[in-house]
Amino acid sequence: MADSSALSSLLHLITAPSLLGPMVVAVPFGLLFGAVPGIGGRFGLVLAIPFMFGMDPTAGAVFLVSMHSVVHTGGSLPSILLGIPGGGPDAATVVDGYPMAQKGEAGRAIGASLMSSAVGGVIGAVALAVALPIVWPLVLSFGPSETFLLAVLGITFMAVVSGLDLLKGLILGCLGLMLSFVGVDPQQSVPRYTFNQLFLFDGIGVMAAIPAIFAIPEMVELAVSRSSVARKVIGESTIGFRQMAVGAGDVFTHWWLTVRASLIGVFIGLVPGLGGEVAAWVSYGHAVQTSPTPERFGKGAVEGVIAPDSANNSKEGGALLPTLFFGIPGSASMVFLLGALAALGLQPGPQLVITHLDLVWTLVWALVLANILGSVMLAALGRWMSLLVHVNGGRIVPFVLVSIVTGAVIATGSIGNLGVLFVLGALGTLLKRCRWPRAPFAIGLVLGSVTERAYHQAWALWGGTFLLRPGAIVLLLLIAASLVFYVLKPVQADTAD
Amino acid sequence: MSSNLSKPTPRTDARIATALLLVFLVMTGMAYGYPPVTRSFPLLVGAAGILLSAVECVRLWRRVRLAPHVAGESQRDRLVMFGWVAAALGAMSVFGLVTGGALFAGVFLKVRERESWFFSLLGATGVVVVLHVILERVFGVTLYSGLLWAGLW
Repeated sequence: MADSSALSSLLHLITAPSLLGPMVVAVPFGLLFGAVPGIGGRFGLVLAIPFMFGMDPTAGAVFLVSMHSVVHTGGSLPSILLGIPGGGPDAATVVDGYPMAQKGEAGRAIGASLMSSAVGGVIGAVALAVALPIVWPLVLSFGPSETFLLAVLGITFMAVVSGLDLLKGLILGCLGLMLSFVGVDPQQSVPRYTFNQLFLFDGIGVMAAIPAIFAIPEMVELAVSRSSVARKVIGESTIGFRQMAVGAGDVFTHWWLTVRASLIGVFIGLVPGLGGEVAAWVSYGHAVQTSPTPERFGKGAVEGVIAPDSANNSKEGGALLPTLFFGIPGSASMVFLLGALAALGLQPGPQLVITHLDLVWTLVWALVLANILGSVMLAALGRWMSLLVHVNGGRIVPFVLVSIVTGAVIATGSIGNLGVLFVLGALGTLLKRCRWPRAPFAIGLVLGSVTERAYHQAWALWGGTFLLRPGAIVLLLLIAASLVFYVLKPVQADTAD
Repeated sequence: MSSNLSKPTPRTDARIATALLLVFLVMTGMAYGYPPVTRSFPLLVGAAGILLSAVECVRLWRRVRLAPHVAGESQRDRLVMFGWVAAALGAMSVFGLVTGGALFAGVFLKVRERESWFFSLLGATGVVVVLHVILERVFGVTLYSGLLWAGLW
């Protein structure tokens, strides 16, 4: 069943203009969002949301996944040319990419980066495809008790890995769940926390709440920093096609490193909340440790570009697995993707895989094709796209804000949600300022209704003993293990935000 | 972008925890007014929220008492910028998404970013092109036209 579904999804993707078209449009936008420091994948998703409405859910999902999967491919451009990472996960590319550009090897570095991004992205998608039949029986065995505990596990996971303080993460997870109760109770059709405001009867719009809590604070910080992201210029003559071909060849010369780094990325992507920075830096560290000449790193070693870029793109495939299969976002960007998919009428989780397996396969193929297409496009357009890195951060802010408001109003169909944007935007700004992890809040809000339904179903079927079912016990052990991990781990920086 | 924030004062941290405790208390209290099935899950989550935020409050306020008093960094820039966010929301709700959005983008670029008139007008025009031409005309999405328009007609 899986084989025929996989093949038919590929055929459908490459033959249907309604799917291929959005992918071809999404890829340059993803590259662009990655290339302009300060935008990145999350804001790319926010900016794309207004254009999703009226789209077929599959086409919309293909657009979002294709766009998001190539963000780091674009992000390598400012990292190499200017030493300014397009986003956090691109920072590791700077260490050797920028020295290569200074040595006059910018083209080689970009070629290596593009090829390793493409290969890493394909390996990530293959890993997702291989995982599908393995995870399938697990997904089928999921009942309401497991679904309920999965959401609890997701919030706990995010709280554990997202920063210095577990309690803060758990509190915000609970707050997200509480706010998900706003609206008409699906069990008995009783309005809860609506204060007689009609727009609240439909609940707090996810596409108003998530940009408010994540994107508005980032825009405030970007505007306050008044940063001109790029003032340095690298000569265009160093980005030649011949040099790029040499760099692309380097990836195959170091093929075993590429594969290892990609697998590290997949694994890190699988663990909810670890994020792109971890994947890139762990791969970079692995490249240094396993090199016979580690002293070359930091001075322009091509392996220092290959390893983080392979991992950056492969981790997207890994991160899609918990996001699509279990509704637990693999990274902060995946929280946005989760919300955007929900806005398209697709609720990620076991039900999505059971009822829309063809969609999952379509997204796997979109991941493969978008990564290849992204590298080809950037190779062709890189010289011109490098000009984008000179955009001042403040110039981006009004357009992102207009896009956030437009997306929220269209998605929720109510102007009342502008109040939600304002209140949660203020809360998000305060939380960011005080380094409270915001990802658990988003998970609580997105998964709240599913969790409550699963809780009621589990209680109706098994009463209080639903926690003693085999699957539930496994999940309870995982929750306990993640808490033990938190207690034992060394203090780490905020990663999930 | 997220890593260059200076450390906030422990007092701000404690105030957030206290505010969240109050939110949980109010929402849990309100839940008691709902029928049993409707309130069961909010009560469960609310109780967990109260417990966790109460523990956090005790921990953070104790830290405030023990820590030497540190003057907080001025938040004026952030408040002013948040005023701009409010202006965006206000303009787009009063004048509609297209007109309000274009107006906001133009004024923001001219006043806050001190861009040239040409660039500011170009930015505003860009918003009109994307929202009106692409979204409304090409994609056929009906965009909110604003309280002012609704009041006039």
